[in-house]
Amino acid sequence: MIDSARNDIVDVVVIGSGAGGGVIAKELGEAGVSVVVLEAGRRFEPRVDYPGEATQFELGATTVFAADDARRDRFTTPPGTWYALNRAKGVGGSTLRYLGISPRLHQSDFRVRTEDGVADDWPIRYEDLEPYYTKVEYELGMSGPGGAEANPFEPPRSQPYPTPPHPFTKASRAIKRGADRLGLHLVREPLAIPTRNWNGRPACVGAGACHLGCSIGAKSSIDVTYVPRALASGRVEIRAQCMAREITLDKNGRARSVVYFDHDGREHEIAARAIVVAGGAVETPRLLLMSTSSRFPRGLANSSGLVGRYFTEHLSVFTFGLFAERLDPWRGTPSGGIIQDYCATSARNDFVRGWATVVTSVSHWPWHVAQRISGWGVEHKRRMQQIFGHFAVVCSNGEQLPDLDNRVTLNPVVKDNFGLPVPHLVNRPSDNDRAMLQAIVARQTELLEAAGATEVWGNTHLPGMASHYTATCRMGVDPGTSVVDPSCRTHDVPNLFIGDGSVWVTSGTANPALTISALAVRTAEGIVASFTRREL
Amino acid sequence: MKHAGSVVRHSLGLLRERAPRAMVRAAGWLSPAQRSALRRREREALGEGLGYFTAREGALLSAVAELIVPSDESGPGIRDLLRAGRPIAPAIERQLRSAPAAGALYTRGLAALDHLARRTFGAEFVKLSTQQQIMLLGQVDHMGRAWSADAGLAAKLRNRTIALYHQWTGVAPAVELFPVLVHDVMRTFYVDPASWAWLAYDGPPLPHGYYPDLRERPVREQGGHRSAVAR
Repeated sequence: MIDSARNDIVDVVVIGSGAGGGVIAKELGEAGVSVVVLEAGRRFEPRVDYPGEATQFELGATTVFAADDARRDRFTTPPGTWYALNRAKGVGGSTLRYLGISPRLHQSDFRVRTEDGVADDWPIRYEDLEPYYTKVEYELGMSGPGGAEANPFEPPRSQPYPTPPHPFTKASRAIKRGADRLGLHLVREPLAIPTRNWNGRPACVGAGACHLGCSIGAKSSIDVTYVPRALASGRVEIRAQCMAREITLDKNGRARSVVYFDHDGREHEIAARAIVVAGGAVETPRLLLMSTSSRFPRGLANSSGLVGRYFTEHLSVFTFGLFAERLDPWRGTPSGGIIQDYCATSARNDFVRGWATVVTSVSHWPWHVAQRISGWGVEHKRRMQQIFGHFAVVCSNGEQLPDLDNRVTLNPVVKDNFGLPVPHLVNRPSDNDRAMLQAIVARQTELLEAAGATEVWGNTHLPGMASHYTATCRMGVDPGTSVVDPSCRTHDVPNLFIGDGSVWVTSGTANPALTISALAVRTAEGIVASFTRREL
Repeated sequence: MKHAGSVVRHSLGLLRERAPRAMVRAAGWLSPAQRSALRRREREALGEGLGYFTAREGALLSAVAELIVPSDESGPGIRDLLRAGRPIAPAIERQLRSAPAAGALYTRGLAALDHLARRTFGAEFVKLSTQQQIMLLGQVDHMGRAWSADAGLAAKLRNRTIALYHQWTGVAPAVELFPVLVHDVMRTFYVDPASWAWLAYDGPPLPHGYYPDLRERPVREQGGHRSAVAR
């Protein structure tokens, strides 16, 4: 039963507060639009909730973002398949646990069809997005290299990075040795972690705990950047621990309200003149598919049948290399550099498109390393002594091609803590993906060996582990082959927008948060213009 | 003197309420050997400084823990924590506080391990030679891996039958406990500054971090250990 005590009406309801929703809320609020944000997770207080100084540092580290009720984050996959769905629910979304690696998409990523005859072109170009990239980078205090140290593969920028790059870590210096030998360009990646005090936040101290939440607030996650700004506008209210379960329609086919559960499981309804769905490429199609009506029996805004289709990720291969020298990979940021030499299609390959490789040294503290080693007793200890502080990791972001059969659907049987159907995920690599994966494995081995690694392990595709999910409500001009138009408004429902990575057409090789935020600023601008024109 | 009876009854009750169904099934039926071991336990005194484990369990626990992370020429282990005044049994008890069902897993598993020791070598675990102890743990570890291995239907059925047989022999709880024990003992050791000094780990990283220049820091004085990162 719906609790009417909290029924209300606002200009815009935004569902989700991550790289998309948090940004849209701030932009709308500052433009004078009243906003309520519904966020399924809780609010985290960096100094209280994240591991700080204690010998118990590693003990608290693993459960920070875990759900109180494990059923909340359930999902299913086809029998016999394995998939990692990495995300965080909370004010700030998955930026709470991201490493902040923030390259821009390349120009060619927007026109894959034209260049390579596969997938589709985006209906917008890199140049359309460039001013928004810049805007977000300055809000976040992005650090990155320029001049002689700049990434030669970087697309044209109108402004330099707002703060200087982080230093190379010991681990990335070792790997750079290999890259130099092979003629590859390992450069410091753009990081959403300022190296100078920025907007009242302190500069990074290089503690390397970014993925556990930054307890000093140096990492530019959305909760410490856009969210405070949104609240400061006085027009944005964030309702944490509120899980949307349905978007309702009025008799004219416009989105009318959002029905949601609060923390205690009580149901509420909030009406709005426009609704933005920004729950990520899994939760967004899930909500639309749950919102069925006589007008949209297959799910809201799904006349194309493409809601949940083209579920795309980055092909991730983690490769570990053992080095004779001490690398102490826990010092400094977990990420240590990026190589984009293999991003573009090459005539030498038996596949199209490519991948980026990033140095990622996550959780190299003693207890975490001990858990990577199987066994016990003398042998375990010997291996611990051998690898602790002596190994480095590189990881690929391979451009998986969108595939109609890879999709998010609703599981008809399994339910979450609110009794809602959980997402069912199908993501199988295509022939092109598999050929690329082979090349990634070979090149990453070559890189670590050239760097002097005496032993290489891991080096297999781990589906889902990249944590980068996109394309389940893709953008296009044709309502028959896409879910949203170039301004991220759904073709079917004029006051319903998608504000997250679901709208991507292809995945490129760039970690997605920055592009999601840039698109969000642009989408918010379009919504404000619609209000001004009295269309909403 | 405080006895163990009330504690374990309470703990088994919690296990029935909170643990997953498979565990409850295992706890609901006790083999004859388990039943008599648990009856014996009710008369045992709690270990010194312990609130859950009996003196016998405490001794057995530290004997096993010393094999999981041995003190040897390569560096410190569980025995060194004991010497520094940080014995393993109370540390495990502290971890059990947040997972009461695991207490029953420990009690039953430790009883089963002693049962296996007596069945194989005719003496309780702590009385055996190190070699015999390692052999027994190896056997328990091997059984656990075999039972949970990905395998075809026939192999799965065979493994399931063997697991059921060992429910009856009273060995199965030791197999169930072993991976938990390895996890808990290693966790205790590797968040202890004694292991950090051995590994020349200069953490924990917060709140100071390593910038501006990723420099090395002296390992701070903690828990009576002091050493510098020597290189």
